[in-house]
Amino acid sequence: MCWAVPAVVKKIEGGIAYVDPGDGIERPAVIGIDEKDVQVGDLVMVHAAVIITKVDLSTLKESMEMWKRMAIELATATGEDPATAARVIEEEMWRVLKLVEEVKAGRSDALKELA
Amino acid sequence: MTSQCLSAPENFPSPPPSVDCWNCAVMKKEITALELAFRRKTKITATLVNYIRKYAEELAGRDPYRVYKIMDFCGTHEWTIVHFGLRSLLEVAGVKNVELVAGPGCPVCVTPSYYLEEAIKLAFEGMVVYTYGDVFRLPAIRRINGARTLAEAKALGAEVRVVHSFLHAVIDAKKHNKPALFLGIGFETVAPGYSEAILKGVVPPNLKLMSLVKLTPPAMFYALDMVREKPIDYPISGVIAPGHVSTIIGGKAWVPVAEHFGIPVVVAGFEPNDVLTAVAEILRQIKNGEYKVVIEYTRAVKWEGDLKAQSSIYTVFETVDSAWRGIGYIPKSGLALRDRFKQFDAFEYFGISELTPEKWHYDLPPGCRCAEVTLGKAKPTDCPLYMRACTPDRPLGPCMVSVEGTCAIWARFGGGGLATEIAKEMGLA
Repeated sequence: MCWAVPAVVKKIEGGIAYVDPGDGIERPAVIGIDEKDVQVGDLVMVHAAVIITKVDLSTLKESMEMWKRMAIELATATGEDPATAARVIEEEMWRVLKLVEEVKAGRSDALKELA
Repeated sequence: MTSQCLSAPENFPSPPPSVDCWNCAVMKKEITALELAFRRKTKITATLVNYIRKYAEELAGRDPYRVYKIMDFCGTHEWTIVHFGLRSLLEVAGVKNVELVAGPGCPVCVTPSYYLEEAIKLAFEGMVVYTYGDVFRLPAIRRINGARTLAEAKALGAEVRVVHSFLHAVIDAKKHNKPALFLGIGFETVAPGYSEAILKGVVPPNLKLMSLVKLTPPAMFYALDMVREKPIDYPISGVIAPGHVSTIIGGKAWVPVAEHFGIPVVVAGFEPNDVLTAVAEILRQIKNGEYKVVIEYTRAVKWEGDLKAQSSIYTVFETVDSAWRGIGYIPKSGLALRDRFKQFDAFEYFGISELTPEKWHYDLPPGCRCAEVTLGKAKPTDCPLYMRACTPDRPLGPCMVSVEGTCAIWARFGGGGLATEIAKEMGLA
């Protein structure tokens, strides 16, 4: 029962949030989490019309750092250049982080590409 | 908060006559997004696969015969693994001693047949029965008035309506004011939806909730014990914990599992790279003799979970012993409405007697191995009915119905074609 989709909060009325998963249709959803945490424009995960969490995209940088550490560890073990290995990870993540900036700037259709 | 807060917007879609979850627009969109996310990060995937191979080889050097079984608890993780062919990807990459085992993370698969039969009965008695799309086609073990599923009951004239959510049922039930029942299956992820709707007072008096919510940590304990039961098998060496369940209950909920069994637990997201990162972290911990709970899905999961949601759930519900289909009773693994919320309780209102350990009987069709598949003791292909008598179009067992049922996922997405293609792209095959 873990199937959830990311969506942007478009408005909140009477304790019910209206969310857009990227197709332009606003759907009502129960705020399952602390209401103080949810604001219009937030990216949230919605499961069976229940908001189950707010997505913190700043942690993507942490994930990038973790993958970089793994790549460096691997490269060191195999005698490759650790700096090159780290750069490969960074290049791929930069494209993702760019997409994140677009979603943050309110382009909810960019959500179509963000899982 | 009054009930008028909850008004449907003009373009709010009315409940569909039936829902095909596999072809639902939102789900298709999410699958496309996951695929795009994967294609965008294949170099990271290659790094992760190499990292897994390195640690797997080091572990093989320690004990060449040992197989490290990693349980992916959640049905959606199993979907990611099968859809992207991660098992074949690891095999192609030369990782021979790591096996990914599907766990009990499918609520539709474990809902006892008894409750379904009671709901079908009530539907024939003229109550409006609301259900999720995948429960609609779930077969019961006994026929009620000739119907084995809610879908068949509807075809025979009973009032069954498919909804995407409890909120949908709330909005619809207000319109007709007839006595109605919501078949409330699910795990901790849906529970705050039910409890918040009740606490906010938006549930109309004619709509009653049949709470069949199950809790995942007790089931994980049970599944891990069951797999250990057979001495010929290697025990589960690590667990990929459900990501979205953990948004509510938090990473902390898995500490007892890690400590009791001495195995690493990683809370993971649902992109293929999330799952592979979890596998890599589990192997790293095994190699270093650690058994910690680690949250990989940091963008959505916090260590303490959502305290507001936890408090809302336990205000409305209490923990009870609960029956799992084909498995039996697991202590403290279900949620029932507390006494002061009994006015919303379908069991109370419709006089449905609760299932008890004495009344529970084995409720899978002959030959069906859904319970073993659910507990990670058998693969779908071990079942004599799989793709013969039991197919996605004509499911016999509960694991073949839901989008999260292991058999249904294997049947729809098995083959691993995508994985081989990707492995070639990455220079792994």
